[in-house]
Amino acid sequence: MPVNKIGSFNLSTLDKTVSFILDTNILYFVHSGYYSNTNSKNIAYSNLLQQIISNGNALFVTSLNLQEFIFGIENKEYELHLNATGKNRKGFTKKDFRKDVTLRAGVHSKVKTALTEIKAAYELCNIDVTTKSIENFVDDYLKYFYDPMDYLVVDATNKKDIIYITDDTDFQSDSRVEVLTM
Amino acid sequence: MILARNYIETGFSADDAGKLDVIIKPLFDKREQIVIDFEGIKIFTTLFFNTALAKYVMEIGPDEYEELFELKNLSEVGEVTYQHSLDNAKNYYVMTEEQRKKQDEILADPE
Repeated sequence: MPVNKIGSFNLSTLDKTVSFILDTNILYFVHSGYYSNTNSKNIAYSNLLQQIISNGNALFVTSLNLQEFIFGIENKEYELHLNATGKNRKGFTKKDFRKDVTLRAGVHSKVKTALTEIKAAYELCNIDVTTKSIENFVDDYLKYFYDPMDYLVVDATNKKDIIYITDDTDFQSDSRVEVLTM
Repeated sequence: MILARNYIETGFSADDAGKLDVIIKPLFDKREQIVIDFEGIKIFTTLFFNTALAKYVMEIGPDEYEELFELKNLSEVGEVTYQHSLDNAKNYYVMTEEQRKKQDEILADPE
């Protein structure tokens, strides 16, 4: 299966039956919402997704990617808090961060907003994690470079007319999947 | 008044922000009152507001920005994401250059 680059990918000739699944890194670039100086990946991936929405192809976000995205935002908020206060990880652990009511409210507000915009733009789909799918991951461990999360998403969703939008090169180790990336 | 739907279908991407900014910037340069009506637009992201409007918070500060800009008829998603963008921009505005640089480094990639 091909690895498509955004710059040469032609949406106008794409069949409407083709659907896309967003990797967690794409959710981060487009929906984390942090103000920062220009980031080329924020720009490129947001423009791509907007074009796909306008083109009428379905875009899916899985429950596994959503939980990884929320976990990632919580980690970023923790890192930003350490940076802003000069605390270190030993002196103020992630568990300490989670127990602080004010900081927890800040994370809640941020992930709630991100979830609101994600739900407005995409179709959400549930993935069941089964002991069998974990066994499959272990059995295939030497075949691909996936982490468990990405493996489980591909294992549950890969079929004809599905394209994964990702910034992760690990997907390129799997010849079964079609990838769209920068 | 700027009727956003004359220029964009969604308030989603950097491209959407750029299309709107073609209209906003000349008014901003003359410091004219800027009223944007988002009637009919349903999909928004914080990224869109960061790119289209928060840069003006950085340029003139939150107080002057709020005097100059008025947004109307935002959907529920639009209201939430706009407020999120404004809050982030205000926090960023008060940071030192060094703090901004460090934050940019922390946030540059998802890992």
